[in-house]
Amino acid sequence: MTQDINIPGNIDCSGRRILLTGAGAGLGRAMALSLAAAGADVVCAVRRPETGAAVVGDITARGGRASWLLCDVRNRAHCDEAVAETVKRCGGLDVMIHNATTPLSSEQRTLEKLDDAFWEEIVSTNLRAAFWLARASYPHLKTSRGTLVLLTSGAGIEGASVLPEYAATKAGIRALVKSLAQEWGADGINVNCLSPAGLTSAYKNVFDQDPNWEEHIRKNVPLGRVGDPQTDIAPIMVFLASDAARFITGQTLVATGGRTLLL
Amino acid sequence: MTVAITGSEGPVGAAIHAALAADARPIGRVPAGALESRSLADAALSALATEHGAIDAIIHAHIAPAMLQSGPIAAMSDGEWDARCEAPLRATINLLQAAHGHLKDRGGVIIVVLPTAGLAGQKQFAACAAACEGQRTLVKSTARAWGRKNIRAHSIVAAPELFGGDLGAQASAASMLSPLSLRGLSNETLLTNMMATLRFLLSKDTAALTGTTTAIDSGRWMPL
Repeated sequence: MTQDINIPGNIDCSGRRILLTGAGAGLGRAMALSLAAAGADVVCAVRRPETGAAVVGDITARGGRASWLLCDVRNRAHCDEAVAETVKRCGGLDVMIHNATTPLSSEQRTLEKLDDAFWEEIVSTNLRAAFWLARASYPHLKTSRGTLVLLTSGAGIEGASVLPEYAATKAGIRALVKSLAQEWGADGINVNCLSPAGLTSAYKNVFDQDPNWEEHIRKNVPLGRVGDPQTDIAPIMVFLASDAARFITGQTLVATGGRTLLL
Repeated sequence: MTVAITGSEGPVGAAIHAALAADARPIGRVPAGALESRSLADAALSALATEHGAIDAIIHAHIAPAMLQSGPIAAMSDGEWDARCEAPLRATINLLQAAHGHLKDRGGVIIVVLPTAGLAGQKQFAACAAACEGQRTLVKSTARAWGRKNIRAHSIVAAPELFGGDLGAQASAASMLSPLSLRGLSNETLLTNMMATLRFLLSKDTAALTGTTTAIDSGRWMPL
């Protein structure tokens, strides 16, 4: 890690037991580092063992608490087992964060060129996994009066001409969050979305496919840049996972440097 | 103007079909079974084009009956999730893809009619809400992608009461407790307003409109 971990002032996640999918790289890795730095016990769900070991190594080297487990969120049994294993290891679950995505999510195509296999990859990773993880974590979040956070995207708010399947699933996630916030509010469970624009490998793939895209973003983002995963995005997840956000539910917190202004 | 319509088996689709037929427009029904694959949807649209002439507009008002059933997400089976969320999304993708083949060279209008459940979410209908909002965003994406082909795409989101089932019943009960912004409007009035909006969006006067969402719900939700 090359940048300092930025924890918003006075926000403390001490004792929070967190399961985080997609924790091995990109935004997920940044979130894992920041959540652990804020005192949380983070279970990092990853698809590749080497990324899990690396992020946990970084966390523990800094004095944080973390472990990792293998989880392909496209597999229902993996989702169920990840939740059960987290409860077993930590004694409960306070925060469930579904951040995992697929490298294919940034592959550009218009709707008429979408095929069934590609749709299955996107919908299973984003929306179906959100359902599975929400269902599996509900009894534990009810016990802890905890928090569910799902990742969405500006595409899920505005639509996207060349990522229509991705946009549809991310919009579905927003509606799922709003519905579950109402359904689970009586149980004391908060449910929210984070919509980030962080400089991840997916963004870099987009830049590679269209060299003008980065310049386009610089011109169209009021803050003039894509967010840094560690210093711009991860602190917002720390806030949502903390008790400081206890009166926020059903919301989409948009962290795009002002790029997405319509809600 | 030749119009193809899905969902005429349901109350909203049936009302739209009846109203447009009364306008003496050529209109053909796309059966629910034709939404199960792109090839079936394409075949259904081709059959309609052969019977009525080239298609100018497609109204997608199909709401799978499963979407209207209530149930907590914590007790929902995988099959129920698929029927209430993913199958409706696949159906809309199949129809839109088939629609592209029929409209890409001559332009046209696509209108997707949905309950408002997706706008603000609805407890006990999380899967339905996800399907609705996913479809509404598919409309935005296609409006962006196909605008240069003069294909316009819109969403109309209507009061859940109109769609029946558990969704409609829950909405009716909620309306009794929380009056709407515009009070005392019957389902008939809502449908009349929906038809006026549909006719407007189908007209040549809306050539500069695309990607819009119009809520026909007496002002319960104000989406933008």
